[in-house]
Amino acid sequence: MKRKHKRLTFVFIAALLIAAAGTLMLTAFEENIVFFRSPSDIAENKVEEGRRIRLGGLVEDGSVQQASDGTVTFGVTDTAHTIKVSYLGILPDLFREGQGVVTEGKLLNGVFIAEEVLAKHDENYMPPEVSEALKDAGYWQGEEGEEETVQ
Amino acid sequence: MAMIEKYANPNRFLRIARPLIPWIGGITLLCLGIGLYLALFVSPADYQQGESVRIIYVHVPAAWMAMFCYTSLVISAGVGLIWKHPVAEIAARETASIGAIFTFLALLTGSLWGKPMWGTWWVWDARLTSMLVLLFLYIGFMALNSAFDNAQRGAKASAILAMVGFINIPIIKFSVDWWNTLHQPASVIRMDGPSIHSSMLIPLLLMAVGYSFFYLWVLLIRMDSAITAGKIRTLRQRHAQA
Amino acid sequence: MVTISSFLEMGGYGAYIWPCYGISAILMIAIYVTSVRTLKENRAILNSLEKDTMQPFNPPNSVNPEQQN
Repeated sequence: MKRKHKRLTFVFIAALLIAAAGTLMLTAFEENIVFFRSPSDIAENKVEEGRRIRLGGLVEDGSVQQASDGTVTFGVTDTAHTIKVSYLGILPDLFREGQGVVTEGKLLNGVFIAEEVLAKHDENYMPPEVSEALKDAGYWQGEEGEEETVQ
Repeated sequence: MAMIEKYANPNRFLRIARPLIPWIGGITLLCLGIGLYLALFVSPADYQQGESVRIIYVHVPAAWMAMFCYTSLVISAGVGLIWKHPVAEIAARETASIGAIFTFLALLTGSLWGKPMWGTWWVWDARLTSMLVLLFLYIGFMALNSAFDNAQRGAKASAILAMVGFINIPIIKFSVDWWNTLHQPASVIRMDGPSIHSSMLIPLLLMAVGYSFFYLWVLLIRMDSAITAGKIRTLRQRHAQA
Repeated sequence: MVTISSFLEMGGYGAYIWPCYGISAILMIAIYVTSVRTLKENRAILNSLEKDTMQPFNPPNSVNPEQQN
């Protein structure tokens, strides 16, 4: 009888722990479920200044500028709106104009001061020759498919 | 008599499974051998990611198997729960260990891929987080399964946990479509066909077939082992009674 | 030798690619080896137990269930 009670207590505590862990996980998940916001969200004032957020979009073509102190500025766009981003640090290998990017930082006087820049690539995989051939033939227009994923 | 009935099923299972094991092992080694050769020597570098794309050939099969193993775990555990099928209970238990390893490998190779490409080892986006939850589900299943003196009670409790946790599988699959994630959307299993060139898709699929047969191979060996262990327990009990 | 080292370098990503392949191989081989070893051990134990049960101190009617099917 004692053993049975012990097991029952164990099951009860386990169930309680699982429930608590599940609730915690779901709450954490809920807050992070939208991993980044788009430039349109910021332009439409959905994001308050000074709050730490993530901004995601495409690096605007021709917008990347390197200052003498190493600070990089570039535009992050979702084609509807563009936000200027300033960043001092190491950029990931895939950081390129026209490629997807997710930056973390704060909005200050309309400029997004990034503390971290992550590259977001698309779901296309192919050898370089094929991508060249596709571009030459006009079948494929760079990263345009990315727009669907960055809204 | 009841004892014999209980034994009948695992023995019939073993009679069918044992001769298959070497064949399954042969297919596994063949697929993984050719797959690795193509992955490392023949397949091209990616137009954006360069040589680092070769991580796909171990990352994606591991991630697929993580989800496939969990699905077959839930089916086995469910059959074991509803029909009191001892072989299904064993299949669920042994699948958990293999699936947990695939999940860990998917997370680890993903991290090693994310660092050079995305610029980070880890982010709490929906895809990565739900995959980590899957690892916890596997560990929770294994812990609950072995937490009871009464093995049947352990099988029952862990089966219920596994079934509740199955909701995570569609979340993993569609997380990249439903929410903004750092992880890119699916490249192979998608509505409008694969967005990955055939020179990379073929080695990837070969590796995936190899991983699937590896799972089956190790699963049958472990089930054989578990059934043998069950016989040992029964014989020892009888020995003690006699 | 140049080709081997450039192959290992993997365009600068060798430090990420090889750990991926290495750890995958180690873990998969490890689970296979431990599974086969446990199976062999269990079979050896079962064999010796079955020999014991066949000893005459058992009631003559008790047949091993394994041998009935």
